[in-house]
Amino acid sequence: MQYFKIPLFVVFSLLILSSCSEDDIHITTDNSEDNRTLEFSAPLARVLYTGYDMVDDADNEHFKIREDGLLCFEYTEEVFIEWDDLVVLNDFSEQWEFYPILSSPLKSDNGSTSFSFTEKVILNNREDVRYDSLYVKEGEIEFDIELPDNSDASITVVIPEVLDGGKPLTYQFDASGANNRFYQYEDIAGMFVELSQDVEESQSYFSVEVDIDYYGELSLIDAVKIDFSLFNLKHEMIYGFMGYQTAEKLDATIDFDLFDEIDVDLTNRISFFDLSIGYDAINRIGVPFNVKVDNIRFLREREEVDPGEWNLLIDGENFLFVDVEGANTDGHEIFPGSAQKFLDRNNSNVVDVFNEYPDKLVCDIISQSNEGYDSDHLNFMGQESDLQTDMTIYVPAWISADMYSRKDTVEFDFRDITDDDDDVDEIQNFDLYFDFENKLPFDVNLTVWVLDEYDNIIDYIIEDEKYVIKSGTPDSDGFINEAEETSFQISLSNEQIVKYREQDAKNMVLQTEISTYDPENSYVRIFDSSQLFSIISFTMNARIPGL
Amino acid sequence: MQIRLLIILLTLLALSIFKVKAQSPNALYYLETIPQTSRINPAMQPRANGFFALPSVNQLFQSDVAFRDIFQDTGDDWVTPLSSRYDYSDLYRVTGSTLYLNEYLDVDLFGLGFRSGRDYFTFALSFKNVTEIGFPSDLFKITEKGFADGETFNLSTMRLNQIAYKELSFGYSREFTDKLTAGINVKPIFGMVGGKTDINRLELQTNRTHYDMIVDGTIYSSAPIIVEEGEPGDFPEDIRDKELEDDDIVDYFTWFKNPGVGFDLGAVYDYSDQWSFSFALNNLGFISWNEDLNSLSFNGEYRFDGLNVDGSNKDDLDEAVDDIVDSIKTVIHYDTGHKSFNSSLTPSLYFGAEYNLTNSISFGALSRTVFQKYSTRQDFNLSANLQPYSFVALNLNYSVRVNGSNGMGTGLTFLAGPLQIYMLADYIPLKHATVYMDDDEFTMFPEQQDFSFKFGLNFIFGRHGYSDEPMLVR
Repeated sequence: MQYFKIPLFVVFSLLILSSCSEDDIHITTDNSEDNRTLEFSAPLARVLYTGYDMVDDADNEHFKIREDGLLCFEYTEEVFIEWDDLVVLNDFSEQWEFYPILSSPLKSDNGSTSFSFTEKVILNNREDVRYDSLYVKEGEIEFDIELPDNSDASITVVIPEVLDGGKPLTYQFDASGANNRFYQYEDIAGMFVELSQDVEESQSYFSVEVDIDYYGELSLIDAVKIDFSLFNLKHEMIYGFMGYQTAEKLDATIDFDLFDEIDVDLTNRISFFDLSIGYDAINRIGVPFNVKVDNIRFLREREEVDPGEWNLLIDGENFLFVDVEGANTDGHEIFPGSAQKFLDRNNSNVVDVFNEYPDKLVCDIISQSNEGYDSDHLNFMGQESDLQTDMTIYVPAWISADMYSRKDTVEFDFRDITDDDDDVDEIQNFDLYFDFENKLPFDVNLTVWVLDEYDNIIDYIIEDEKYVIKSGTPDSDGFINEAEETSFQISLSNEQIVKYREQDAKNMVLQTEISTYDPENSYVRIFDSSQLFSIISFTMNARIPGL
Repeated sequence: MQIRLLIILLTLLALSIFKVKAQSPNALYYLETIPQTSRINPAMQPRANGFFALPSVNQLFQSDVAFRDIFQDTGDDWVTPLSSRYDYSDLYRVTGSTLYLNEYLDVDLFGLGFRSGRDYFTFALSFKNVTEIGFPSDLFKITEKGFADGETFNLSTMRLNQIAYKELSFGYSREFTDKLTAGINVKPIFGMVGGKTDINRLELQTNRTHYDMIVDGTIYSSAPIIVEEGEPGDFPEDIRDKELEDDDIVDYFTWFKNPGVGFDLGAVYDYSDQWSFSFALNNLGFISWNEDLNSLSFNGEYRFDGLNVDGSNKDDLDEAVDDIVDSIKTVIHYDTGHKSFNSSLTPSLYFGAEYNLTNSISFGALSRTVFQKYSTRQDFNLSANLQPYSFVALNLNYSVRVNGSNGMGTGLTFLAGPLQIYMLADYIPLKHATVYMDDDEFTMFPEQQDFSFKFGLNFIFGRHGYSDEPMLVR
């Protein structure tokens, strides 16, 4: 037994000593032909695009959202009819001579002889115009009085209707010996002038009263001379009746660029259901006006388009009248008068004309004051001398489109997108999924192809106008309550991906054909709440690049 | 005599050239000359009447996968998991639901033991570090299949358990009868730093139109870190290390906080002079962590269905991406706190049978079952134990792990006066190969999954053994 231990010991020792060296291990890391193909599926994005976004993206100041949510193009032109000549305050300059002896002077107890005379300062002599009063903004009076030589007299000049702080202008002079000539200048800005009317002569005037107490003897030839001038008279506010006057603005124009982006050959594929022209008058003059918008016509003058001109007919006529009420005032604040007029499909041929895709509206605007009013109607005029008339064209997104086609080119620099990494060749297939929930009233067909830098077609991604989005069904109010669901996918094979890289794809062309819901029988409306919701996801099978 | 000496020297020389690595102490189980056997089976009484243990080191590394599992031999060449020729079923066979990587480090500072009649008393102080990392096998689906439509990744078995603790072991063994010896180790434990994950559910479902992530779990830590809480329900504002002074570091090693307890139970039954059977159940216990506590609970379901793009962010998708990050933070409910938690020790169950051929030669069979969350590790071991002389003992063994590796092990103890030197190694990497990978060349043990190594010194008293069991039978 004891000898058993030694062999056992040796055997175990040999086992321990037999440390095995195995064959070399060569690990293949370059699995170019051998890589596993893995699947990657993932959601990319949920994109919500609304009518509101449409307005935002258009970045066009004319593209707006109406109160009812309907998208709308609005083009507004402010037209000012100048009424600078509605109130004309004439300069006045006259020399008056007064012979006291002929005026039946009165003897007074102190031995002086008193006599007086009154003259008119006429501001206006139009028959149909009457000025009642005015607050003076600017104005100057000067007069020069000359008495006979060696006069000894006391002269009082009163302008009772020119009030300075409520008090009539009054001037006092004393003549004695050689001191017989007096000059007076007065800046009457800020004063109030009460005017009188000489109906028979259609004059608005204020009076100048001269009273003289004369000491001494007067002869027949002794005269009092007054040179009186009123100039630069401008009103802060004037009251009266401004008469029947006319002012006009010819060829007032609104330009709109709505059709600039639309291919000229395809404009007849889009038609508008309704649009309107709004006429808004804002009158800060206290005078009613009758405005005639005449010779209203649409023009088409843009490049690459046949020119054209069409008359706008309103109830069969090529003009329209708008009565604009005068402004009101409480003495401190002016409350403008206004008037609005709308032209739409119900009272004009505006829709028919607009479907010729014009780019300009031109008209003549003539206004008449106090049309239909007599001189008892009180007018006023402040600082505003323009009658503002805004013309606005409203083009709501209420249209029909039947296979409206457009082509857009977007950048698709494939090598830049993939960092020019040839590992992209490991992609066996790439499927991009679009799941749409459409509350826009559009059907969309799409063809997409890829171009190289020389615009050669490399490949078609979507061929033959694939039907990608289906229109929702609008209700009677134009709203789409139930979204229309459609799905489509873009599949790229490995061959395509390799081709895009090798042939250096640079751009992608999207040929879009859009039709609205039931284009032959209905028009659709696009609201700010209209939306297209899309879920974008992908599935890709790709070989992993080698380590 | 000269032949024996030559063989012994050659054996020692052979052993010395091996690159011994750490090994579970299968070899230790039947090496009764090493007093540390009582650490495995508290019933086993060392041969020595008394001993004083000097510092020793035990390093154990376990992996569910070997090099040959990660890189597969197809016959023509070896391929990576990215190759279409790679067979993932082979990989899943070895990993199961979870791929575990475990690392155990024991540093025994000192120990002692002595016999008193039928009783044997032992004491030991040691520092232990346990790192257990579990990777859910579903992670490999990523390189196997990708993120396919309709796929589910169950990551609930993801696990991290890291504990460092001090252990005092008080052992007692008694020969109740001539045949039956039983023993117990009572081990007060004091945790130093610890952390663990407790994940109830962690799942990722991938679909073309949406990804769903479902999370429910808690991370616990007892460590010098600072967590700055954010808004209730939100992820913490900041998590950073606490700056420690030297005294603070010393505290971690010397304090008696984070208490716990462990138990080892064992029994040996000498059926006859030749046969004996043994049983041991180790590491029943836990640590209760209540110092430096931080916990982070997360619960929620998050669905990613793509970037949400609308009019508000279509020109700057960074905002849409930020929204996703923010929503993950808000949809997932976070709850920070300072909850105390327990760490369970990893119990092991041993069954052994030994046949004593002579007083100096025995053969042993051992079954070891290690119970780990989501995984049970089963080893079988056959050994031959030789003690040709009183000053030297040798163990040769062969271990096989179910769904794992297998390999040779050995143990050697040598007495020089009262000083005993011992070295033990399991799953010795006997097979090696030169690996060529790209431009690199290195040596690898392709089938290695486990290795352990233990080395130590003891002072042995009464080292000549029993008078009726001479060291050498002639």
